Amino acid sequence: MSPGFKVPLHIVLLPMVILQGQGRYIEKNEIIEDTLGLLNSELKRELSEGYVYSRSLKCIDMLSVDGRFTFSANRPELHCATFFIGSPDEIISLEYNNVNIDCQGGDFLKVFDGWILKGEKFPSAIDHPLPTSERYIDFCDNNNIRTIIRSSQNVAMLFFRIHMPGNGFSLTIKKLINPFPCNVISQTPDGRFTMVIPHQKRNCSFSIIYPTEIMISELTLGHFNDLQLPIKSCGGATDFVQLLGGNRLDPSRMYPVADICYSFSGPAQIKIGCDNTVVRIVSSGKYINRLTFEYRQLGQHELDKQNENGVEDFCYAAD
Amino acid sequence: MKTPLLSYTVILLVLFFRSGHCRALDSSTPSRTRPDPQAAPQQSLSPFWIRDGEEYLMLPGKDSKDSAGVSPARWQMVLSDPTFPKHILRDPVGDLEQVSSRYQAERGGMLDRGKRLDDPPISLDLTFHLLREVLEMARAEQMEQQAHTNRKIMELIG
Repeated sequence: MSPGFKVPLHIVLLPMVILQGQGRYIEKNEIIEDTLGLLNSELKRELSEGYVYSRSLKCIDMLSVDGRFTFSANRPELHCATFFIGSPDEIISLEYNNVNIDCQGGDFLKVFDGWILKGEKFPSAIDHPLPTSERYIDFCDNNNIRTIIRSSQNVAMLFFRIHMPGNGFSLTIKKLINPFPCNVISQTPDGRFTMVIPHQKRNCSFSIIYPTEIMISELTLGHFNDLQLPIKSCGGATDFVQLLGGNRLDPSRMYPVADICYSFSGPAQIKIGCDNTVVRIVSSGKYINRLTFEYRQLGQHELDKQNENGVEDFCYAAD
Repeated sequence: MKTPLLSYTVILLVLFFRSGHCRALDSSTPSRTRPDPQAAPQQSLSPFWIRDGEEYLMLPGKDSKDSAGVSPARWQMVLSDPTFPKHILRDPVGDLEQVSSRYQAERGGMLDRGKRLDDPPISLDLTFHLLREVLEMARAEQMEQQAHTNRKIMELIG
């Protein structure tokens, strides 16, 4: 073959080799495809169906993981409760698997939609869609037997009393996605969150049960095309943000530290040295309100300092 | 006609005041005998019980130690408490005991129905400090579970 013919021949043959699919070998890597397929099936089997986390419950306990949990009384247990908490964008789903209690003998098993401490509820009564009596779901109530219960927010509680040793119950906890979380208790003392209330007439609270510094990076009150601006005074505004502080769980019983009446972007920060810090949005339902903020726990040295914000530090003297 | 009617009225009034109904809450210990004049001031100042829902509150009398300028302490005892002074219910009249038994029966009925409308909401008395400790334990458990899941994924990937 003459040298002058080899080059054109190679040029002709090269596309043919490419079109045979050899060039796509890397794109279609059977080994990788098998691994991905194996991973998918293994993940599905091992991580969801085959493996379910389980453990026994203590009288006072808190759960933030999915799984199956069992309580069996070794002695009369008269004042027990289990807290459930998920991520801010999750709700709690509780399913009774096996219950062996004596309702007639004074045992009970009650799920509360939210948290309640010392009689104080979160969300507060004014921020929750249900009346307080309906927030308790009693297993022993023959008129309202429910084996699957869902919370309205990322927290829930289970109260139980068992007199007879050997009696008990088991339940399965799952977390479901909540696309527009409203009332939230933070799992962590530090974090970042964006709360969106799209045309909903509701008040939403974000609670951090630590002394914190709140840094608001963006606040949108009302739609940017809406020419109906909020009334200049927060006292008459239909949509605004409240910063609350206090040593209570119920936001309606906490002290208002600051009200924010206008949209803005840019950092605005405030320190609240109370056991509980709440960021609350009041929404009329006319607008889409959006709030983005970060929060971090205050250190002990910060709690010992005098107030820096010109706001009465009514909670600083807690320690 | 008027004289017998008047006589009957007088007799009824005498019987009514002798039964001691009005003294039931004034004395913590029932007494069928005529009170000693010297002891009368003490009896009238002794502690008394007030029913508040399911609980009985014992308020100390004026002769208690708390009367020296300090607000009187309040003790709460549940009716079913074994140390509850049952003698309070054994009033000479006997009505309080019947009320108590009726109350217990009614309470049992309410439990059967599963509703106790006059009960305070079930709650847990936990401080924020303890709540944070339990929360941090739950968070540690969640992180451990996440680490376990990550290990599983890494093992499967190989």
